[in-house]
Amino acid sequence: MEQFVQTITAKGIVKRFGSEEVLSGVNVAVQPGEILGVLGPSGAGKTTLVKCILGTLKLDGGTVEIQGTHMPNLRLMDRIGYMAQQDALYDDLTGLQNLVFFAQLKGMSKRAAAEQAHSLLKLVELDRDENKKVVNYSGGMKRRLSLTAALIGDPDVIVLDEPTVGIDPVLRELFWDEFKRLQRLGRSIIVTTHVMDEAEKCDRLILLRSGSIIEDGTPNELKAKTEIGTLEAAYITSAKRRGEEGGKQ
Amino acid sequence: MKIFVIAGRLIRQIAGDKRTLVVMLIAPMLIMSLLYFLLGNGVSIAKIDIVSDDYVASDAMLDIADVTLVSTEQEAIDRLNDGMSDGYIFDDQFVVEGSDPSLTALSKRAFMQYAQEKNFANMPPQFAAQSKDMMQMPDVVYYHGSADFDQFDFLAASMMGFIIFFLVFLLAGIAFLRERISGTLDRILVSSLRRSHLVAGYFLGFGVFAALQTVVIQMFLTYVLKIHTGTNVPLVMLINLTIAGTSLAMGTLFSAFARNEFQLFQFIPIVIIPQMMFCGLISLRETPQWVQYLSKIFPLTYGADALRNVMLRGAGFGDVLSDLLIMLGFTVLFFTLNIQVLKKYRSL
Repeated sequence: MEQFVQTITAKGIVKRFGSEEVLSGVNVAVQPGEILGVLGPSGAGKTTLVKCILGTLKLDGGTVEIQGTHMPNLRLMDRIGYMAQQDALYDDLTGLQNLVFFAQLKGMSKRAAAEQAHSLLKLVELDRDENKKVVNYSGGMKRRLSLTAALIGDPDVIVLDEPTVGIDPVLRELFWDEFKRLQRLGRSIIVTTHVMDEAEKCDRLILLRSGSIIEDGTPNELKAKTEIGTLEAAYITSAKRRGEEGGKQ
Repeated sequence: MKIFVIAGRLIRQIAGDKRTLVVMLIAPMLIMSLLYFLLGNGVSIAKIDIVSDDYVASDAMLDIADVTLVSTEQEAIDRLNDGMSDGYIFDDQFVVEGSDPSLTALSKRAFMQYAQEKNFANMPPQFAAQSKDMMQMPDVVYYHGSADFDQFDFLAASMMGFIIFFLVFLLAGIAFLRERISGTLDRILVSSLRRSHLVAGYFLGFGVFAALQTVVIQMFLTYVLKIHTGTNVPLVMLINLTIAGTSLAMGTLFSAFARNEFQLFQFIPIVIIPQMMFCGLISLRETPQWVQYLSKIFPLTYGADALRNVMLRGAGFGDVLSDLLIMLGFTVLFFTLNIQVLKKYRSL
């Protein structure tokens, strides 16, 4: 009997921009309560992959299913939280107004939205600044608000594109505590990163390079593949090995 | 309804931004006032020098010309060169400065008056009186408008349409562009919001301010500048809202083809300026056929036409229905195109 219903199943994703193939047959599966790390250098196709999973980009091949439903599906969009690399906030609204707006788009009533917004803002220590306009927020405050905007509406699937870029170690710690909490609640989380110590905290990692997955496994499995036993070494080793294979062809 | 969520957010953003409010509500009044003083007080009197020491200007002459007597032709030429006169009369020579057609026309009118008066003076008195009777202007009946209409009365209708079109194009275009640039468009499309509801929300949100704007302009024209705006206030408002709708559909669509605000401004010479020229500020009656055809592809041509007919000629809803429908057609076209273009951001 199948114990785990996969939350996200992506099979053979192909995406081209013009004649350039950015993703060539990528498979991704995420279970409830699992954090999947997507690791890779910039330009590897990480953002394109998450946008394909979200259904905001049209696939040139392959399929994506979320909770057993074929994507893209308008209703399921409300069950997904998305945090992009950009902060993607309205500068001329307050933090609270931003959250309530995004929550209402997910179908929440204004009252429920405000209630949940308050508790999320407290979680990221923005509750005292919730009535300030975002234009007056610092970079770190915007990052925190951006994260809560992805979490509002209690999504089952949370897609975070480089969530910790440009934030200080204390805030990064806060973010990861939050990710772990969501994991315990059974949410499925996809995090893209190119920071190795963050990758350690994921349940499973895929290494993306030039649009293909070059490794897939737990952090420990990947470490075991190298003598040095660090994730960074594993990353560099597999990247090199692939490079040599490519050279032979 | 998510349309209202989008509209509500836009209203909150605009209402909280003083600069945008000033541009939408105060700037039109400023432009209208300037035009009122510039066009309403146009030049109507020519400055004519006459080389003579005993000429006495008649009342009819003083109505159309500001006459100065000079003693030599050289003095008249010098004054012409210095811009102190528009033309001069030296014996049987009538000389006009000639660079500004409107001043030339006024000068010619004065020359004509001078020549006629001179002829009458040389006639026997009974012939002169008879001739003067024959030259009387017949009584003119004003079918539309009135004798005290000046250029601004005629142009105010077109200008109102243009100002609304231009401001809504810019403000809505930039608001939609920011949505793309800042990434909020990506974020709001990760929800069950339909693409068509997003654009419709923009219509509703900006529609509220466009309605406010048209009320402010109409009140200002009617009560402050006291120009003729017709009696059908709701119909004028309906036309203005239709213009605003077309402009919003165009602005949000064109924002898709701009990467930043500057690139959106680059559309102004192509999209906005021709509409200004075709909206009735300049008569197209004697232009080549192709220019008239060209004017038909710009929505404001129809909007300004409807405004002029209602405000100046007392037209009713039925008379401007075809103009309204054509603009509605443009709006639906741009709206549909925009929704297709948005597929780039979410395939569904």
